[in-house]
Amino acid sequence: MVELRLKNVSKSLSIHERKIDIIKDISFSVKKRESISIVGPSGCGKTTLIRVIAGLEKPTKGKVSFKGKQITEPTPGIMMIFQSFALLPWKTVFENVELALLDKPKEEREKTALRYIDLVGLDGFEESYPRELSGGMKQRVGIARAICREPEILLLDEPFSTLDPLTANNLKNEILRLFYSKRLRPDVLITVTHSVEEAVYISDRILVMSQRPGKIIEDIKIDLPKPRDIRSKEFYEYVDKVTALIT
Amino acid sequence: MRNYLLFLGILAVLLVYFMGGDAIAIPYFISRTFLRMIAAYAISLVFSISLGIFIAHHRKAYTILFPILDILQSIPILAFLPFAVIFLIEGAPILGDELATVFLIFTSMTWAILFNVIEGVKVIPNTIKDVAHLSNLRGLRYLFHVLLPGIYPQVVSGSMTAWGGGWYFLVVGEYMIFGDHVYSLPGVGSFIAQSAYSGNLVYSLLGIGILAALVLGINRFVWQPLLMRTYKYRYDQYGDEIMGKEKGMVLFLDKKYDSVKFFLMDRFQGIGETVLKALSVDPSREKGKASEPIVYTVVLFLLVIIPLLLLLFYFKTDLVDGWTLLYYSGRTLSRMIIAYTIALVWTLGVAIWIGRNRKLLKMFMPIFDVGQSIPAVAVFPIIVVVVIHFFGGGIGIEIASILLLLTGMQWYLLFNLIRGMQTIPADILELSSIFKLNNLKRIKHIVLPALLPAIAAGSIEAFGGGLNATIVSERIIYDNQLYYTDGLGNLLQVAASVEPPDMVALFSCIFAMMIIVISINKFVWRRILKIAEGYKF
Repeated sequence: MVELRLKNVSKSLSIHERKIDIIKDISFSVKKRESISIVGPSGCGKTTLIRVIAGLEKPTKGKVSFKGKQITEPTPGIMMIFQSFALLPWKTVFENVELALLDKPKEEREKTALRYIDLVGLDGFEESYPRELSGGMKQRVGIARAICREPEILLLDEPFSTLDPLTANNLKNEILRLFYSKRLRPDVLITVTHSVEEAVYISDRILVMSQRPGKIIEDIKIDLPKPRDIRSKEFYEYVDKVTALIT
Repeated sequence: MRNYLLFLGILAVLLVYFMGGDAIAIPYFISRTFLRMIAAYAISLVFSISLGIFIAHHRKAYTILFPILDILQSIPILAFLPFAVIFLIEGAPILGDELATVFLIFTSMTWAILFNVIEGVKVIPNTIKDVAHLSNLRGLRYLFHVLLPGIYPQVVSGSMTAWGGGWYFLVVGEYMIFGDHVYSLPGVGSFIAQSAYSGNLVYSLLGIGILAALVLGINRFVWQPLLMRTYKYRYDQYGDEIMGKEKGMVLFLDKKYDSVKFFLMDRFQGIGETVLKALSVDPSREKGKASEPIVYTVVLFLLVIIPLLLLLFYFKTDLVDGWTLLYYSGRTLSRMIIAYTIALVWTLGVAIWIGRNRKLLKMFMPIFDVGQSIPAVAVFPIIVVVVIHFFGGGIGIEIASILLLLTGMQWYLLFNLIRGMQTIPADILELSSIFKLNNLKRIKHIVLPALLPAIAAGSIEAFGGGLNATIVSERIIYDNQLYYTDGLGNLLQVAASVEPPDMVALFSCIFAMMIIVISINKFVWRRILKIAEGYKF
C-alpha cells in the first residue's frame, strides 16, 4: 500500500532576481512499513526535498500526496526530527514535548507527553532544561516530541550528524526498534543523511540524488537481512556502490 | 546595594542642605516624572511589540513600513511638539498637558524597542518555526509559546535603551515651549530645565544627581534581574554560566503570568487565531515575494523632497529660504560628522579595552548607563561655565555644540560596540594569540572586521540620536542668556517658539532633517551594513 507519492516535484527559488532550481522532477513513492534514505552531495537539495514532503514548503511544480491526498501544508500525519534538535531553551524536557500536543486537551497531553518521554528513555529528566542535557539526550527529546503526535511518516533531517558515533549508533538502533516493533507508529521512515553507512544500515531503499538541481539518479534496494551486519562484505558492497554514485 | 544607599543618603543630605525646605518638592517631582515615564513605556511596549511582530511576519508590511519607521525614528522629538500641543494640550478635555508629555516621551522610547522586536523575531531559529508549524502551533499558542519568549532578550535590551532615551528627552517633554506658551509640568525634567535656564549651577548638578539616582535604582532593581533572565531565553549558548537562580518575587510573577497566559489561550484561541492569521503572524516561512525596500526609500525620498520644495517656493517665511536651509543643513551635518568621529574613536577604544573584561564592565557600565540618561540641557551650565567662558562666544559655542551633540550620539555607539565585542567567538580571538599577532595587527585584522556589524548598527542609531540631539545642542540657554549657532536644530527651536509658531519653517526643517537621515542611511550605513552582514558569525 502506497503511503506517500511524489510526482514530478520541482522547487526553484529566485535569489537576486535569478531563478535557481533546487530540486527538479523528483518522482518516487514509499510504501507502508518502508524505511528509505536520501543521500547526495552537499547542497543537492536533500533538505529542501524533505521539507517539501513535510508540507513546510510548497513545490513550484509537481505534487506530493499522502494517502492519496495532496500535501500543501503540514499535516498531523507527518512529523520531523531536526539536526539542530530545535528545542526551546526556556522550556523543560516535559514542556518541550508538550509543545507538540498543545492542540490536545490538558490531561491527554500530559499523559501522552510523559509516556513518550519514558519511551525514549528520558524518565527522570522531565524537569531538566535542554542546556543541562547532552547532545544525545537533546535529540531524544526531539524524537519524543516528533513521535508523540503519532505520525504515520517520520522525517529525519540528518538527525545524528552532530552526535558522537557511539550515541548516534544507540539512537539509530532505538529508532529502528521503535519502527520494527510494529505496535507503534510511524509506518514510514524517511532519513536524509550524509553518511552512506548510516543509510545502508537503516534503510530498505536508498535514493541517490545528483548535484544541483537535485534529481534522483538511482533508487537502490538494500537486500540484506535485518538487523544489518555492518562488518559483512555485502554491507560494504552497498556502501561502495552508493559512495561511487555520489562522488 | 550598600553603595547605592550611601549615594541616596549623600544626595538627600545635599538636597536638604542646598534647597532647604524646597527639597520637600523633590519626591513629588520624582513620582510625577516616574508615572509619566511608566505610562509612556507601557504604551511603547504594547505598540512596539504588536507592530514589530506584525512587521516581522508580513513581507509587504515590512517592505513598506520599515523605511517609513526608520525615518520616523530619527525625527526629533520637537517635531512632534506641534501635534502634541494642537491635538493633545488644546484638544483633550482633561490632562492634555500630561498626555502631550507622555506622547513626547513615547516618541523617544518606542523605536528602540520596535526595531529590537523585529530583530528578535528574525533570530528565532527557522527550525523552531518549523517545529511550531508541524505541531500546529497557531494564533495565541504560537504567540505565547514561541514568539514572546523568543523576543524577550531583545525586548529587555531595547527597553533599557528606550528608558535611556526617555530620560534624555525628559526635559523637552516636561518643559514644552510652543509659541509664547511654556507648558511646564512638575517633574524632574522641568526642574532641570528651569535650573539650567535660570543659571542655577548647584540646582542643575542636583538635578543630574537625582536623575543618576533614578537610573541606577531602576537598573539595579529592574533591569539587572530582567537581564539575568535573558540568558534563559537565548538560543545561543552565550552567557550560560552567568545564569542565576530565580528569586521569590520573580517566580511569583512567573506563576501569575502563566495563569494569565493559559487563561487567554483557553478563552481566546479561536479569535486570536483568526486575527493573527489575518496579520500573517504564523510560523509559516513562505510568505510570498518581498519587493526591494530600496524602491520605497526612493518613493519616500520624493515624498519628502517635493513638499519641501513646495513649502519653500509657495509659502513665505522670514526665518528660512532654500539657500539658508541648505546652509543650516551643512552646518548641522558637519557638526554631526565631527561629533561622530570623536565618538567613534573613543567608544572603539573603550569597547575593545573593557568589552571582554567582566570586572571592568561591572565597574564602568553603571557610569555609562547614567551617562546615557543625562539630558543635554542638564549639562548646559557646565558647558557654558567651562567651554564658552574659556573659548569665548564664537568658537566656544561651536565646541559646546559639538560636545552636546556627543551626549546624544556616543552612547548608542558604545553600547553596540560593547555588545559586539561580547559576541565575538572566543576561538576567533584566540587566533591572534596562536598567530602571535601584536595588538595593532590583532585589532586591524581580527577585532575591527568582527566589530563591523556592531559599528554599522551603532552608527545608524548614533546619527538618528544625533539629529535628535541637534535641537538641544545648537541653542543653549543659561542664566537667562541665549547662546546659539546656526543649524537645523536652532531653526526648529526658533520656529516653534516665535508667536505664532512658524509652521512653514518648522516643516521645512523637519523635511530637511529627514532628507539627511535617508541619504546617510541609504548611501552610507545600509551599504556598510550589507558588507557587515557577510561578517556575521
